[in-house]
Amino acid sequence: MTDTVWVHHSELGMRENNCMSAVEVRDLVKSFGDLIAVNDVSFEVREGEIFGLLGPNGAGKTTTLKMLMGLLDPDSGTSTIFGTSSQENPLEVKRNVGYVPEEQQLYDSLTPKELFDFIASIRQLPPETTQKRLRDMVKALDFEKYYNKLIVTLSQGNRQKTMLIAAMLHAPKLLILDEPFSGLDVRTTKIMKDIITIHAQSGGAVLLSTHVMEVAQGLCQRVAIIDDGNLIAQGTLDELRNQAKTEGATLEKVFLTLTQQEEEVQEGVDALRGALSS
Amino acid sequence: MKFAEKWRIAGVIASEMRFKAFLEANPGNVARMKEDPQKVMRQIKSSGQISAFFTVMIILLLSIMSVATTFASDAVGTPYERMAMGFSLFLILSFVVVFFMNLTSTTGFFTSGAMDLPLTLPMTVKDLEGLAILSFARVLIAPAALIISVFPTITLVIFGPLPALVALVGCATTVALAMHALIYFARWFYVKTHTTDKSRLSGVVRVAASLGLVIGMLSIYSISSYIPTLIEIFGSFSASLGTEGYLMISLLYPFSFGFLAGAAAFGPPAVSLSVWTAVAGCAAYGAAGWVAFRRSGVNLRSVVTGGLPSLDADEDAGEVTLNVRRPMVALARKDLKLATRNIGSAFLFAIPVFLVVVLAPVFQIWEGGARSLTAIMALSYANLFSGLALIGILMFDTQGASIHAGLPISTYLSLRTKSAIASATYIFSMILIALLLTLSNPVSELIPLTAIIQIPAGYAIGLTVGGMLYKYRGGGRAVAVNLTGDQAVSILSVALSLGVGAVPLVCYGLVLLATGMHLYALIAQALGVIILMAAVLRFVPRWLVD
Repeated sequence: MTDTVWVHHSELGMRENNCMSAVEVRDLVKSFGDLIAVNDVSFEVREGEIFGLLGPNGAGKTTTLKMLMGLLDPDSGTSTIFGTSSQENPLEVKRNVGYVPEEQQLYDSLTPKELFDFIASIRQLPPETTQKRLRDMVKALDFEKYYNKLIVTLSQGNRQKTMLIAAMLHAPKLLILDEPFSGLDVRTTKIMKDIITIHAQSGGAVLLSTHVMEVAQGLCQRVAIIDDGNLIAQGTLDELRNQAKTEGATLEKVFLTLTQQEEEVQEGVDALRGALSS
Repeated sequence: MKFAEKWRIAGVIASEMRFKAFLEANPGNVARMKEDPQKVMRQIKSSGQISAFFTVMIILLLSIMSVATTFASDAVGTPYERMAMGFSLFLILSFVVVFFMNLTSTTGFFTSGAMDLPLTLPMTVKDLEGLAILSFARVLIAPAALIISVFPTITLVIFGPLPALVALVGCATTVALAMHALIYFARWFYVKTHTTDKSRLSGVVRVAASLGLVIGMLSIYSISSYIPTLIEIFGSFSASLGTEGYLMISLLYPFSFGFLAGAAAFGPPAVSLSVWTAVAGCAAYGAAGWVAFRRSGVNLRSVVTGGLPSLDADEDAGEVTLNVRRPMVALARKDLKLATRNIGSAFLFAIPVFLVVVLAPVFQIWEGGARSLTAIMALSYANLFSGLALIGILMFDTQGASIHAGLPISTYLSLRTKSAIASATYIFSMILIALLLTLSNPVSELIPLTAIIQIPAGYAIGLTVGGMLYKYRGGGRAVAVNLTGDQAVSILSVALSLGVGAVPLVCYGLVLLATGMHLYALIAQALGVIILMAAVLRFVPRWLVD
């Protein structure tokens, strides 16, 4: 089923795409009153691929991911995960996905151990292999000393680690990560990046949203750029450079060009310079 | 900073707190907030209005009943003594109302982070303390303002300006002392719930504290039933006081205010020295109230700035282990853990205890032994409380939205788990009722069996009430419900649980009326339970969405 060929992976590397789609989003539309949060968005994430969803604040990234998880109902369009409709069978979708939402609303009154017990039980995971996986993750993320503390007492970074472990406990085929690196220290960020890469190299797929262009450039094979709910562009970095006509540019430069924010950014900087110097 | 400006900012902070509390009260709210924000705002407004209505009713009832004590039968004490006791009773109950009705809001104030932004602004420590206490006061403003205004106004109309002034000082002092106690208790509970103390004693302390609080909250709702008894006790108490007793009691809070108000309304009592001891007591408690009010700002600031200790900071790391159970067991264990670690969530445990308190008069009114009507009344009470128990269990889901969002938990599994937990309370209540009926010399030995046959109806009640709340509050998806913040759902749950639980009882009653045979009536009740279960299992899943 998966005959992925890795070509290059230093910056938005490309690969052959003759494998099954992990995620398929087709013509997705979602409105909140008069606001069209997601407008006719389509993209695909393949097995073995790390796909980045980029966009400014309020662009519609989180809404798209929530519709994929079956947490929000789209006005129109479809989304499937490994062929399962997010709208028709959200439980099956959640069985196959490890999801880290942007907000950190955990069970504050439980300890991470109690939380992982709960998650493993709900997912009916095999105890021995899961415990070994858990031990490895806890050790890798330097999380042992927080394992039996109440979650409410944990720092933001350690809460994020809790969420990441919880999402990967069942070794899902697809990881959907909404701003996964927020609040993480340098060591944990590096470990998480490596884990994501290893996950993809093992045939798993990753769909992540991020504001950090360096992360996307270093980690993702392909990206989609959303602005004001509209899909502006998608593809490898080279394809985006061609589209933006910015040869050799960084992803940040490409992003600003495609979202037509370069002038806005310059105006904003000028205004701030004036404000701070007056 | 001017007071008006502080008051305005405090209003913004208090609104933010209510808004966050509403969002956190339901895991589904966070994901779906954008879909219809106006609907959420309307829900916040309507639940606030209903809560305010209940608060007004409770305080009005307390005020009227307390003032009416003065004009009760002359058989108990003099009007002076009755007024003194009525006043004192009102102040005690006001303390209870302010303390219990605001406990969850207070802990929410500590954890909401609503003061985080002002803390980063260039404000003096004094301004921050003032802002913290004003924000806190705006959360408590409804009961506090009502207590301080309604009772003195009624006193002014009936007894004149001097007793009204005493009432005003007494009420203000009570509110200040209650706020101080509230902050201290919430602070203690906050530290306790932030500590993974492995000792069983710590868990017992938490459960006991929660239980006490929940019973206190329930007591407020049923206080009207006990006011005549309390008046009688206080009346007899005042009539039995000797000279030394008068002097001693008039020095104690809240009797000082009661004695002084009585003297202001009816002239000096037989033991005229007690007026002066009451004046001294009032002055001392008034000063204590003022100091408590001032210190509340410092205490609040220390809490909202995160100055509370985490007692297990140095605890050694434990071994990484994992225990996998069946999904339904895991859900139930998680809920029960949350229940013992959150104020208000222990509502569930208090149900059977409270049921006994309510049922006591029901069993006493029947002379010549318990009849079938006694059983039907007792079972109807239990049905009523089972709906409230289910709401108590739904309160557990006020945490964990991010985890819930990613887990394959079907709405029906969630509902079945909640109903199973509620059923445990129901079974305990039914056994209790069967025992009480047996001990009440029933006219037929079969009567206690009505409670045993009724047991499966507890599960049906749980599924129906929970299913209906999921349908109307969550569009078919699992929702959390906050009893103190959304009293409309309490009314809905009580009506539903009474209605659903009545199906087997109606079968029992009708067949008993038609045949006069308890055995046939019990068979009809059992059939009613089976029909009820079949209907609920068939229709409730259709209301739910995953």
